[in-house]
Amino acid sequence: MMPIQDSTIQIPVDTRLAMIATLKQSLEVGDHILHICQVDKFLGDESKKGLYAWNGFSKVATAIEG
Amino acid sequence: MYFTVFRYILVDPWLAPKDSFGCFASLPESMPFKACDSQKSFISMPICDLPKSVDEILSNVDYYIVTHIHPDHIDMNLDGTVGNPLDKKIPVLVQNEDDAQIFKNSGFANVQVLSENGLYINDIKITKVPALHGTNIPCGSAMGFVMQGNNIMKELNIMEATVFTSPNPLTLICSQNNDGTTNLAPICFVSYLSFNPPMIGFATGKQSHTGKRVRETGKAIVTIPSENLAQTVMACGSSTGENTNKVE
Repeated sequence: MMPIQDSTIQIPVDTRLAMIATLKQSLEVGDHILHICQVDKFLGDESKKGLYAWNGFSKVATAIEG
Repeated sequence: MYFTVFRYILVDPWLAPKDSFGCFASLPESMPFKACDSQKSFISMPICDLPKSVDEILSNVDYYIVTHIHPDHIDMNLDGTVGNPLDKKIPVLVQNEDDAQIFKNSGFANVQVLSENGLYINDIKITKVPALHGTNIPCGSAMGFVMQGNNIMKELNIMEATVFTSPNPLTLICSQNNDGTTNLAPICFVSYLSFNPPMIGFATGKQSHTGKRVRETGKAIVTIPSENLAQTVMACGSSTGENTNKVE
């Protein structure tokens, strides 16, 4: 884990993108609650390949472009 | 029910309510149908309710396909006429001239015999193929059919739809626990919402510990995990942060 400036929340070291966010509104949507946030800061590391959910949500893997 | 881009096709529309038909053993002489398997002769039919009302099933139908005329494939009257609940203006595809005549005698205006050469409904080709009705004892003539086309679409539920949209976004939502530690939760219901100001949205289950923490603290860090975190993501998704420190 690594600290983020101006935040008390830490994030995993192996992160491609971090969106530091402030909750603006929450809304009940069906069987879920939607959290609407304003992003205060974006931090990215393009050397890391991001993960996606495949086969619906059952598998985790990177995406292959093209 | 098959749904193509342009057409709804209802196959073997037997729409009788559960148990309303009785069993084969109780059929009157005017309906000379027997169950080949004697054990099935005494089963009350239909054996289950329809999944929707008849009106719902018949709404939007463009074609009927009837593979053969048996009373457990098409509603049949004592006089041998068929298809009472159906809209008789809608075209019917059948296996042969004999079945076509029964539908015509039942008042259907547009009856077509499906052939091995097939026919096109818009860009969907439907072709008759041989069918074996009855595995041990032949149960009469019936047809199979093959639908071919580039634009055949089937109806999905939302979970099946997520397979079609794969790969889906995957985030690790980082929030703060009561004790100041960080909680991690893999969340896929995430989207950009606005450029200016930059806004995003994510949805959690109503009982989600992460959701509760974000609503209590007003803060979250939405992260895209890298490939080194694949196992971590799966592990985080299998437990709740309410009782478990997921970082450990």
